Amino acid sequence: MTDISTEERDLINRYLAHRLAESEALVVETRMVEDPAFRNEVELTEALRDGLRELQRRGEITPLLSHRHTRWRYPRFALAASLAAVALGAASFLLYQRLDSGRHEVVIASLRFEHTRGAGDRPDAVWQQTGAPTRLQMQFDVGIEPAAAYRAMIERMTDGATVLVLETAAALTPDGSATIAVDSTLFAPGDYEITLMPQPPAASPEPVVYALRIAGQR
Amino acid sequence: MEGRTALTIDDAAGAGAEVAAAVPDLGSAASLQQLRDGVLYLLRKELRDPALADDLCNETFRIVLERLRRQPLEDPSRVSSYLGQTARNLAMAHRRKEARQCTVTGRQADMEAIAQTELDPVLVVQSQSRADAVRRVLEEIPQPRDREILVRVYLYDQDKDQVCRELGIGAGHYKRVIHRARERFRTLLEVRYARSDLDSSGFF
Repeated sequence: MTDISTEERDLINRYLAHRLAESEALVVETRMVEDPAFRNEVELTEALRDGLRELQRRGEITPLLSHRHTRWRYPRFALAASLAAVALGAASFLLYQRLDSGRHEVVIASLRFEHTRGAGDRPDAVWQQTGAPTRLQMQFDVGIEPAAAYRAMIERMTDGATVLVLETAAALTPDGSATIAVDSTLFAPGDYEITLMPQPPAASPEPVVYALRIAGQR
Repeated sequence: MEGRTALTIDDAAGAGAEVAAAVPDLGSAASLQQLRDGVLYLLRKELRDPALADDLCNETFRIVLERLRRQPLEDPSRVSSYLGQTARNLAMAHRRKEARQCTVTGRQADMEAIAQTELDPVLVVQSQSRADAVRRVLEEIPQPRDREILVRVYLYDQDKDQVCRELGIGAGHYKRVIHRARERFRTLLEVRYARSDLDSSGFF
């Protein structure tokens, strides 16, 4: 099995779109015969192309691009992560209030985001607005092989689009978690996606996406 | 094939010892099966008729093995190229034969026109389940940009410059972005669907 490079994938795509010269097409077809990994890539690309064409024929491409789709896969993990995050946030909030009852300028709430993906429509963490300006300390488990550094991008998810709220550098804790601190006034009630982009981008693992829900004040 | 006994993959594997002397790559049953899968895929793609592709695949191997028995290739590494070329020639010859045999008159012309526009029900079902799988996986891809880039590249055939310009991607990042989108699609597809389901939907 061989790894397929981006150039080879581009070649395959042009082959399937009939945009190759005959000599190039022969090279592709010979690879298809002799290299199962390459053939597998051709089959996947062909199926993707044909599937997309069929979806276009059914008029399903536009909704696919405009609607926010669920991406939560494991409901139990999501529920557990949400409850843990809420409990941690509430405990941190109460503890801070108790320890620091004399000062009311800034309240700090801690939110922890687990690396395990969530499921259903449940976010990784939920924070309920309190009415008081709050510093949200967000801590992210980025997995067992953290990158050297991360940039965090917070986007608000609406029905039709995503709106960038903030982009900032994340700090790394000694245990390998990424952290950011964000002022709660930036958030309106709603759903947010927080993408941690490994730095430097070229030789790093993939971005990790977390979901945060800001609930309105009761 | 008329007047001939089609050579199956088992026959070919049985002849492995003999063939191995001429073309070691063909002698191993595993590599022989891989080559057969490759030739079969090529012919199915070319002919859009699985049964016919199967016949021509067997015929391709029969011709190539007979040729190798008579005279081994000077460069054994070219055997896949030789197989591919033989398969293409057989497919082309089949089309020519069909065109020659096609005598179209009056009512028959109308009937054949209708038949050509009707799709094979198996292919229709396959196409629909493939589209359903693509939609489901795209819906689950967390990054909207991944969906967008896959649609632009694989449906609208947009080139790198256009995709970068319209999605605001730096040209230096394009490769990584498209690679990740592809990998996310593939990973989700393989998580969501059993291999047998993907096979029957024409994915692999």
